[in-house]
Amino acid sequence: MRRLNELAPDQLRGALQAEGIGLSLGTARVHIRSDVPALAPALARVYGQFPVEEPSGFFDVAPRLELVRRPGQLFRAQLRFFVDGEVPFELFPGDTHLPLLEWGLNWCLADRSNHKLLLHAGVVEKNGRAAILPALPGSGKSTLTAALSARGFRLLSDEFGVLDPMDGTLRALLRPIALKNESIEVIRRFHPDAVLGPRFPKTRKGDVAHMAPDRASVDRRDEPAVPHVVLFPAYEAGAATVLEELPPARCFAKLSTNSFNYEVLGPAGFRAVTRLVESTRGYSLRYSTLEEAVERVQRLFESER
Amino acid sequence: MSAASTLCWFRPAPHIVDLLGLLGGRTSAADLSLEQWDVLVRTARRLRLLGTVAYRLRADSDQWAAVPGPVRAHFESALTTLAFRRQKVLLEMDSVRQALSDPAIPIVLLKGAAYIAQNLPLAHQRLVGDLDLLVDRDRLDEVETRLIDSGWESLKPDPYDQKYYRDWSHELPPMQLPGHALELDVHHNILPPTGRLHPQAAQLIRDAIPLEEGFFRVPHPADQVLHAAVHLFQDSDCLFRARDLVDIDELIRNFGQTPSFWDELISHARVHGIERPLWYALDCGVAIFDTPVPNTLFEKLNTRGPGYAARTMMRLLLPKVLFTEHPERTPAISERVARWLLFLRSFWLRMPLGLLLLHSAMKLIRNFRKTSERTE
Repeated sequence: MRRLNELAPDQLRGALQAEGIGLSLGTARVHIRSDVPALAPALARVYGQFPVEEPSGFFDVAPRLELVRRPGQLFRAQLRFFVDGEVPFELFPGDTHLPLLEWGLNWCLADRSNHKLLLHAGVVEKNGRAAILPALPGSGKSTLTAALSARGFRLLSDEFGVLDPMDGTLRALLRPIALKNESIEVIRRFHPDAVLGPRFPKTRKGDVAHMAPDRASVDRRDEPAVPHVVLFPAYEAGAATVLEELPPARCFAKLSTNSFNYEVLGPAGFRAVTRLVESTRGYSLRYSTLEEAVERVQRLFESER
Repeated sequence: MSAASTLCWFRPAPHIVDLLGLLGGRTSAADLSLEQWDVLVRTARRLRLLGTVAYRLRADSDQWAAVPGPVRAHFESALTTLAFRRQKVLLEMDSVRQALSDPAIPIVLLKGAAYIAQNLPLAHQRLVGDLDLLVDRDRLDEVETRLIDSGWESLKPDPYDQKYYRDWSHELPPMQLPGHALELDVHHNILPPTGRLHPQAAQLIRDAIPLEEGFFRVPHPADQVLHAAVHLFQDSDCLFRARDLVDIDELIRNFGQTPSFWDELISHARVHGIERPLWYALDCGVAIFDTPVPNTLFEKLNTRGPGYAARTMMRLLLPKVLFTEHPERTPAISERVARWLLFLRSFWLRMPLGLLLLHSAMKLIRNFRKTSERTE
């Protein structure tokens, strides 16, 4: 099967406009269609390593990103996220195609995934052991997740940490990592080979650029991973790098409040988080330089071997 | 036994056939291709029927086992969501009970909350969006004051909205307890006073049945069916409302086993003057979901049901309106026209023309103001 970045630009644009393309993200399969010309090269970049699948079979989400031109606004096109005959949210500015697609996919996936526990967390894995990096605003979750994936960790997800409440394993929901504001330059400097998509200035979350998942992570997206550590990153300018173990009870509280659907799952959610904190170690990781933070996590994985 | 099925006025669109087959237990899950599942899940989701399909599939272990894994995930997710929302309704009922039980005011639970309180099979198949209560009009102010004293806040602070609800609708402006997920709608009737039909609210409350827990009541079984029928055929444009027909079908299958039910259904419909919507509900139920309705019932309703022209028209329009179009297609012209006609019908039934014009003008002015505020 050909990868997305192996298609000629016109071919991809044509496919998106006509029958669409199928992408397997690990635990979800999506069918994407769009008549927005600029979306094709952006997709080819940030989903470049994903095999292009025939648009047939069953899809978890099948959105269409459409240009809307209103009379009187001929030169200011807007974008509409259309899914299953409905438009679940307001129109977006015409130049924010990739952020809208990603945001819309997140919305749909979150709405449809109450059979899994969805943690708001990045997940990476090495030697069969996974690290969960839950997000608190400004904590640098995406930056650290991106940095770890650049240093040999397999990326499973950035936005949704998908935990199977039945067997306690983590599933990949592999998507580009959305880097915001300063993080974009930080990652560019940290990993000059990183494949970044176009920069979208002034979205709701500030400037956004997406980092493409690497080939190895894409090829292994159907492999589950066993949770090993839970790392709560806390970026703090000028701080020394400190890794501190957290008691399981605190870890439980932080994880459950950081989940998208802990409450919805009811007892199954409680059991899943209990099992998770009992089978992992929890740490808080305060850092100011990415190099040191990554090194500290690497050492943690070595020492606990 | 089903009168209309021999007439066969309802022919489902091809993409609806599998959905109806699964709901009715006629289609084997093992026979569906992944492409068929794809259309089915998308259609069911849009019709708010995903939980119903899931519940009925899971009730049959062979059917459940035959659902492909990725598809079953969506059904499991829908069932989890349903159970959670059910819990939220129970929680909200608890809050209302605390606010209104001392001294007690007679409170009748309507629709979803009533199904949950009776633990009907239906309660495990449908999402409940808000908590609907029916109280005596004379006690409305008291109920509102006590709810506000207990922390509920109006979700429509706008003075025009407040006035509109109080003058022309059958409920208070919606309220919510801060931090709670559900909206609370306090009704004093089941149809707006501006409409053409006028159910006897006091009688509905008198006929309501107290629950074992001692505080809430639920409408008489006949009235539960009648309420669902007027809700769909008198107070809505029927657009994509197959969900409501499933409710009616389930209620009838549940209550219809009591021999006295059918006579009560007729006599209650007569008391409230709502035979017409009931006739449509039964006619659609029989044709679409094979709802078990005794033939004699249609005869008993006949003189007070819709006339020949009205029923022919409705049988022509409803199949194009109750269900969504194929998820990959845009609606056909005939579907658009049917939807537009039933949309007009809903206004015709709900309010006199003068009020409609007044209300539309007010809405237009307010939207215009909002837009100009936004652009400024």
